[in-house]
Formats: sequence, structure tokens, C-alpha cells
Amino acid sequence: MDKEEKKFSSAEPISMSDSDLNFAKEIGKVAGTDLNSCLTCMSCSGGCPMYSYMDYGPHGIMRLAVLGLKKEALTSTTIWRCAGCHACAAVCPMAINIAGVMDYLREECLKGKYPIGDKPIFEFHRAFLLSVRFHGRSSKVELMGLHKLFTIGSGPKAWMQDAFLGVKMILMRKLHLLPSRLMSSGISQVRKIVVGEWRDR
Amino acid sequence: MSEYLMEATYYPGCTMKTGVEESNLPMDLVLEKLKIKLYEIEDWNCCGSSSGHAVNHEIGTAMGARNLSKSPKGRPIIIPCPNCYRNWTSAQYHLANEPETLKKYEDQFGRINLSDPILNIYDLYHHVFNLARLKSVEFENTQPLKGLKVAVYYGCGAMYPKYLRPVGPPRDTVERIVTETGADVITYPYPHKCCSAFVSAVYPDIAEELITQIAGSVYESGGDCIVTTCAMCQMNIEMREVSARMNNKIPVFHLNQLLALYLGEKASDHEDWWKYHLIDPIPVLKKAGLWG
Repeated sequence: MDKEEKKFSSAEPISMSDSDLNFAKEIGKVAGTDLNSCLTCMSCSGGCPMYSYMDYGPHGIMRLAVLGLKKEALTSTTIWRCAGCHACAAVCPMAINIAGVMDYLREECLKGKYPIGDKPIFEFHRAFLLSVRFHGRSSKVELMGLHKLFTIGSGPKAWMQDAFLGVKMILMRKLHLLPSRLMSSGISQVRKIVVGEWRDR
Repeated sequence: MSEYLMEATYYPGCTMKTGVEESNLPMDLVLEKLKIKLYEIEDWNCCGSSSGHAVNHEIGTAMGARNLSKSPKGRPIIIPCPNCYRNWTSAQYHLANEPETLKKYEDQFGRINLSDPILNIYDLYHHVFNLARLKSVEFENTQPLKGLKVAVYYGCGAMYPKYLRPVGPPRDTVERIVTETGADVITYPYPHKCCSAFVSAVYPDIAEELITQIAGSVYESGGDCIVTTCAMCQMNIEMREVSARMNNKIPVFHLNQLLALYLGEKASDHEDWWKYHLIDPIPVLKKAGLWG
């Protein structure tokens, strides 16, 4: 994984002709925060562990949202590479729930059928939720197997990635091979919950 | 008066349930000695962490609502995994503040428990150690961990949005517990840096870079080992230290293991805890004189 140049550092002007000025308000309604209070102090990007691998960084996404540049925000790699560690939300001086905004944007991206910025990470989420649908709980071994299956087009390097360590950890019994399961009534309840647009992609 | 100091509901989470015996086994011993009784929630489901809330905000709240509806009233809820903890508290917050959401899920799952506090495992230990400082609890046969230089690693387990923890991340909770056990706490630059969580499974090279920074800075600051409260971080750090082929590998303990040693367990009696580590911690224990 190479480090990405930040798109905001280029000298090109930002085209605002098709911007959606209600975008920040919509996000604020679901994520429960007021994006217009953002100071662009970059504290979020300073604390973000994934910042060097993102195309805008958290502060860039805040900027895009306030400017109403919906398409740029929803097709960025930033929203997918966010690890959800909430470091940004914890340091934000204006108490914006930035990780919550990222969650909302991912959901919007799937709803609006926008191209997904980072396919392998989306496939991880899909494998995780499928595993939860099967057992009501997630199973690490099954999850990794499904993920390998979904990303089979990425080439032999991705197939072999962590295979040795994974098998070693299963043999050590550090990871259990068999998942733990809910009772069947519980599983059917969970299956009713775990639905959404992620299943159609 | 019950014979226990505290009785609580326990939510293990998927990681602690399927694997990571090295932190489960000592936790049972520690809780027995602290006279805390945990009752596992019946038929709990995944908390919706890392992927559930990431692609659909309703999944996160609904999973939390189902778990909350399964937890009996009158007992605090103890959650060892920071990610599960964050999801539970955030679901609880949304249910408590949005009457329509609450009604929707009460229709679906029955009565939802919103009155009991949800505690992280280090909040629990912090509380018990505070009681010990006030002399209302006394530990027997303690064995100070003198000579062990510990780097405390919170990871994202300390990070919460402002509406859940307005005072900001805890900065000395685990440090105080570790100091109380007699070990030296070292300072190093990245106690709150995320270990990259699930991204580690997709892009190992990102995780390797982050963990080389974390573990490398522990080594340079003179630490012998890292202690964490998250089973996932423990696994991730050790795994990536091995796969990044670091020269000076630092073993990672779970807080439960150090507390079990402090409360009188002998390290040499518990080969079954140390065999689960990818990086052998026995040399560190021997160096600190805790073996035997």
C-alpha cells in the first residue's frame, strides 16, 4: 500500500458548480453533529493513524461536506480506509463526531450506488456481516476465508497474505476454527437486523 | 450481604469467546480473587462493531438494542473489548435520546435495559484498586512485579466521541493500576495510537508500519513489554511484530495476566497462558525475576 498524495494540496481550483449545499445539514441530522462548526484546525488529520494512506484525510472530508461536494466525498478512499478508531472524534475541539460522519458517508455511498473507493475493505465488511448473518456472531477464521474468496481477483500476493501466520494461530488454538453460535431463534432475529444496501454490491 | 464484592453482567464479545485463552484464563483467576462474579449474557449477539455500524447506522443500534434487551436489570455490564464497549454505549445513548428508535426496538426485542451502567474492564479494575487504596478491600498474598518495565497501550480503546465521554480519553487509568502492582510504567510516544484494527487484515503493510512505530518506540524508551486491555490489540501487535520481522520484538501482555501475577499466581505454574503468545514472554518474566 503506497502513501497517497493529498488531493487538496494540488493547485487546481475546486469546481463548485454542482455542489449540494444541504449535504452538511443532511449529514448532521443522522450523525448528530453540526459540521459547519468545523474550524479546519486539522487536529483530526494530525491524530489519524491512516492519514498518509488517504486521499483527502478526515479534515478534507469535513471541508468537502461543508462545501457540498457530495460526489468527491462519497467516491474518496478516505471514507473506506478510516479504521473507526475515533481518535478524530476524541480530539475534535468542536466535538464533531467525525468517525460517525464517515459511517454515514459509507452508508450514503452504498445507497447512492457510487463507485466504492476501496474495494478490498468493502469486501471485508461484507464478509464480516455475512459471517454475522450465518452465526449471529463473527468468526475470525471464516471471515478471513470469505474475504480471500471475495478478493480472489487481486492476485497471488493477496491469496498468500498472512496464510502462514493464520494457519499457525489456528494450530496454536489461539483462534478457534469453529465459530460460536446463537440459538436458532436468536439467529433469525439477527438476520432481520443485518440487512442493507451492502448486500447488493 | 452477598459474598461477592460485585455481581455484574458479562459480555465477552466475539474475540474473547473464540480464542485468546491467554487473557480469558487469567481473567477468571483475577475475578475470583477480587470477589467479582460475572454472569455471561444469555444468547448475546455480535455488537455490530467494525463493520456493522460502518455500512449501516441502523445495524449498530439494533445489535446494541438486542444485547441490551438480553441484559438483566440491576447489575452493571462489564465489557472487556473496547470496540464492543463503544458500540454498546453508543447504542445506549441513541436509544435513551431517541424515543422513536427505542419504541421500534422495544417492539422487536422486548424491554430494553437502559438504566444500568456499562463499564470497560479497566474501569472495573480501576474501581477495585481505588477501593483497595481506601482500605475497604484488601488483597492477600500479593507479589509486587518489581523490575518489570511496562509500556501501557490503550489503542483506540481510550477514544470515544465527545457525547459518550466528554472528559476526553483516559490518560492515567491503566497506568495507576500498573503502578499499584509495583511495576515501572515507562513513557513513550504512542499509547493512544490505533493498532489499525480490521485494516490489518486487509492491508498488512499498513499495520506493520504502525506497529513498527509503536513497538519500536517502546523498545527505544526502554520498555520490556507492552500491556493492553484489548485482546484484539494484543493479537494484532504480536502478529504484526512477527510479520514485520522486527529485530527487537516486544511481548504484549493483557492486563489480566499482570494482575493475576500481582495477586499471587506463579508465572511458572501457568505455561498454558504463555504458550498462546506469538512472541515468547518468558525471557522478560525471567529477567524481571518473576519466574518461579
